[in-house]
Formats: sequence, C-alpha cells, structure tokens
Amino acid sequence: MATSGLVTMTPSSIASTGTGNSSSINTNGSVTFSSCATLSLNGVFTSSYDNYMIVGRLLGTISTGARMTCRLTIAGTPQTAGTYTSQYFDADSTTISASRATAIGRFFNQIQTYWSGASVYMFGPYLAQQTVWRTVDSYGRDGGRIIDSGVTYSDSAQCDGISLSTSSGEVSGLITVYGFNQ
Amino acid sequence: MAIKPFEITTVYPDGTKETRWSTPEETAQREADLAQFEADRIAREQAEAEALAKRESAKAKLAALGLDADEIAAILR
Repeated sequence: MATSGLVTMTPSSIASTGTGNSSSINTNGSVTFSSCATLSLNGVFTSSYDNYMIVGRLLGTISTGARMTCRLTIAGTPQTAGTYTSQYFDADSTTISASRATAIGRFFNQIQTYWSGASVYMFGPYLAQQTVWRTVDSYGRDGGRIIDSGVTYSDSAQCDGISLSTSSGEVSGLITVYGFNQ
Repeated sequence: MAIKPFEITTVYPDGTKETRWSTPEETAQREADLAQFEADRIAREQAEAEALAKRESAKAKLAALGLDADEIAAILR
C-alpha cells in the first residue's frame, strides 16, 4: 500500500539575483538563500503529485516590510499568459483590512528585519488547469499578527517551478517544497 | 526608474554554478514588477489611511452622542 505523506521536491536548479546574493540546494532538497532580490526554484512540480506545500523562513533587509510575489515558471521562464489575482487580509490586533489586486501573485506577505515564517499550499501547478495557492504568514513583530492571502493564476499551462521576487530589498532564509503523496 | 541589467546565478544540485546577465526582457520585467509593487503599496497605504480617518470620525460622532471611551471601544472592537 502506498504511503501518504510529504515528499521533498529537490529543485533541478535554482536561480537568484541580488547584490551579493548566494543560494544553494542542500542535500535534503531544501534551498538556503541569502541577499536575494529574486529566487527561482525550477523543476519542483512534476506529474507525480497534484498538490504541494512550500515552507519558508525568511529575513529581510527592509524594516518597514517587503513581500515576495510569485510567478509560476516553465523551465525557468516566468509565465505571464494568464492573470494572477490576489486576495489578501491582514488582522492586526482589532484592525482587519483586506484588498484584492490583479497582476500580483502574493506569496510571502511580510518580510522584515525580523524572522518570519510562512506556509504556502499550492494546488495543481503541474495540472492542465488553473493554479491556486494560499499563504499564511506570521512574523516576529506585532504579537501574532496574521496576514493571509489566496491567489489564482488563470492559465492552464503545466508549470514546473516558481519565481519569487521581492518588492524591496533582499531576503535571506530557507525554503523547501514538498509534494503531497495523497 | 530604469534599472540596469543584473546578474542571474543558476545553481544545480551538484553545486555547479552559472552566471549570466539578465536579458532585456528580464530586465524590463523586473522594472515593471518594481513599479507595480510601488503602485500597490501606495494604493494600500491610501486605503488604510482612509479607513483610519473614517474610524476616527466615527469615534468622534459617537462621543458627541454621549458614549464614553469604553463604550466606543466596545462598539468598535
């Protein structure tokens, strides 16, 4: 009987930019990166799995905060044929705000000079259908503030990777992609 | 603001590295992304400022009706 669980997806390659950036693929398949303005993980989605979990811990260089957005990629090329639409909500003590934006695929929502953590559930990137993902972030400031987002990508191309891009500054951390063996 | 071509470093699982300059398309895409990020940030901050102003206005009107600070806080919680 097949075992259910999470399977680490080792990238076939990674690509990064940014002043003084460095990145490496660890022996366990995770990716360590430093001072990156962009980071691409190639070959992490395959026909073996439909759905994925991406876990990151992140440290940025901008005290007022930045974020990383995502484009799906095919063989390292970011996909723009479809539309990325992001719904977002932010619960900060008793204040809740929300917004929707097109042309942006929110991924990691709050990166500051405090360590943050996020998990992203991505559904069907390698299937010939729309891809959707959902992110939950928390970070080490403001006492448990929740920032949550859901994203759709309207095109049905079969994508094998992600390209992450910072809105400002550079980001360091660790990221791992897991396939759901369902 | 126009940005210059930037280096892209590709790393493979065996540790092999390749470095190349961004193509004109990649440079233009990054420039467009940064412009989009800035526009989105400005729009979000404006929306937050408007929401805060409305909240303060509502608190002032509630106070004018005779509610004390605790009652106003309870309503707005």
